[in-house]
Amino acid sequence: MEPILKVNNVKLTVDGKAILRGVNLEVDRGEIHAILGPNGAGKSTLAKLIMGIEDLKSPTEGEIIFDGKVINGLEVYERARLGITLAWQEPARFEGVTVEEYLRLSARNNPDVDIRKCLEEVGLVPEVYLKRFVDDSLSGGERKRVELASILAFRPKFVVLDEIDSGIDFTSIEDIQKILETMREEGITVLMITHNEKLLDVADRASLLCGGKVLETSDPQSIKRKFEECKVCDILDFERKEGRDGKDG
Amino acid sequence: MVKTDNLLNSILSLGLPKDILKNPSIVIEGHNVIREVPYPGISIEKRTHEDRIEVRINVLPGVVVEKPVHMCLSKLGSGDQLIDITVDVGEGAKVKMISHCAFKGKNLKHISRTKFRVRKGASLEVSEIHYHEKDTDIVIDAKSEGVVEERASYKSLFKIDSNNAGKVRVEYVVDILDHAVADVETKIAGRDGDEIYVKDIMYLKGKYSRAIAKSRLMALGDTKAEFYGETYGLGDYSRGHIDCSEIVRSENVTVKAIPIVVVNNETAKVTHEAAVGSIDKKQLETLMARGLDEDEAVDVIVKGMLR
Repeated sequence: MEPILKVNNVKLTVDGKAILRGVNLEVDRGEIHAILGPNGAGKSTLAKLIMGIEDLKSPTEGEIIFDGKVINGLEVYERARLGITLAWQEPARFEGVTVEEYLRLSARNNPDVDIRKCLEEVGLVPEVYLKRFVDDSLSGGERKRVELASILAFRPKFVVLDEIDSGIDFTSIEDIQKILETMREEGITVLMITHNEKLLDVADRASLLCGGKVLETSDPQSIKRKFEECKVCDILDFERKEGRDGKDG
Repeated sequence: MVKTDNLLNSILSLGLPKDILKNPSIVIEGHNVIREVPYPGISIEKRTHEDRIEVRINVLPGVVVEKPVHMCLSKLGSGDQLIDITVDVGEGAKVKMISHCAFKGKNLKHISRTKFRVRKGASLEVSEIHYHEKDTDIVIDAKSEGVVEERASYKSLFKIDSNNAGKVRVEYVVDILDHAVADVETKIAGRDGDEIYVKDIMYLKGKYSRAIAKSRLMALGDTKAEFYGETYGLGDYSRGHIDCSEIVRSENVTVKAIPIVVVNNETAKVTHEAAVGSIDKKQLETLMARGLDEDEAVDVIVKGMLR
């Protein structure tokens, strides 16, 4: 089967510094694919390039192909309308917008979506949360759950979860595992940037991103072991082995 | 009667909540009272003049008005509407007033001068919500001056978020006495050609008096917007805060935020925060990642901020 996402030899240079050095990645339809890598490896940059946010609409070189279509240069909403969405590490907050309104916006093209059920799926009681505002009155964990509920309401084909576990307490990780499984059941392909071992347990495959390149894609546990080795060798060492000086593309 | 009904329908068609007429309410079109349903515990005197109307509202001491008191001020067509309003809330009384201001036409001018007194232990909450028909050409000049007596509270919201705001000047001058609280908030979205000037002056005269002056101004087109806030910490242990946030979404805007804090009492404390900037990019991109285009996303963010 054709992968839903193909990242072909993607390079990105910002202010003369090579951030991505030729990323090749294929994500299969319906899988949960984890991306591991040390800090500064380019994981979040890759996520931004896929969604087209923060003015990263096109790589310096290479192509991102979603569902058979090259998405380089597309606006964020155009990518969303193709079925891509993203959950930020720290989701934005909205003054004066209720949880109910926020979820209805996400579900506006899916009239049969039950937003109460979406909240229940992420462990929030609809009666308590629907009328609350998506502002600073929600805790970090509550805001992340609302974000996950909005993804369920949006029903994307593909979602990028950027460190969705950061700032979440240990017991909530099990809830996120369940949410990921719900996404898989609903046919949503997940690309998940994480360091969390428990979340890796839910992944079907994983890729190791180090020094701006995907070094390997395999089963999550193998990639986790490779990641530990990568942490030991560090990025500069990797660059030296690759014969790079950090200024090439 | 038919004429009045037609007028009421025209006013309500500008977006006002339909249930206003089911509740106690007073509807003033231009300088004429066209409908009035009395409020138990509240006396309303009206004096109509050729060039203006005076309205005097007295809430009797101890009266707690459960439902909001609705006022509808409108002017359709062209010309001026001048309203002098006096509000006196008796000791221990509690009332919430909602002024729905509906305008449609050209060369309109709405001038209101409000004097209020919230007596000891009383509470007055006022919302003034404007509904402007598209392409309405209007000058708004609204000034409210008042006193919040000992242990009383005053809360005010002035809001324009429909179509063009016009040339708007909103001014509050409030004296806050011992243990009293004042909370004044202005939310206006300006579009092409609009000019907005908001001035809040708070005198924290009493000991332990509290005040917050908050404004949210949005320049969504070629707009001038200026907020000027002065808060004086005069009473012992008085506390005040000015919070001004202005959003810019056009290249041809002139936006200013000027908070001034003055304290002449070593136990008083007045703080301020002012921010002028574009719409938060992360908010925009979050909504766009759910399929909203940029204009739709801006609309959601602005409506939320003006809520």
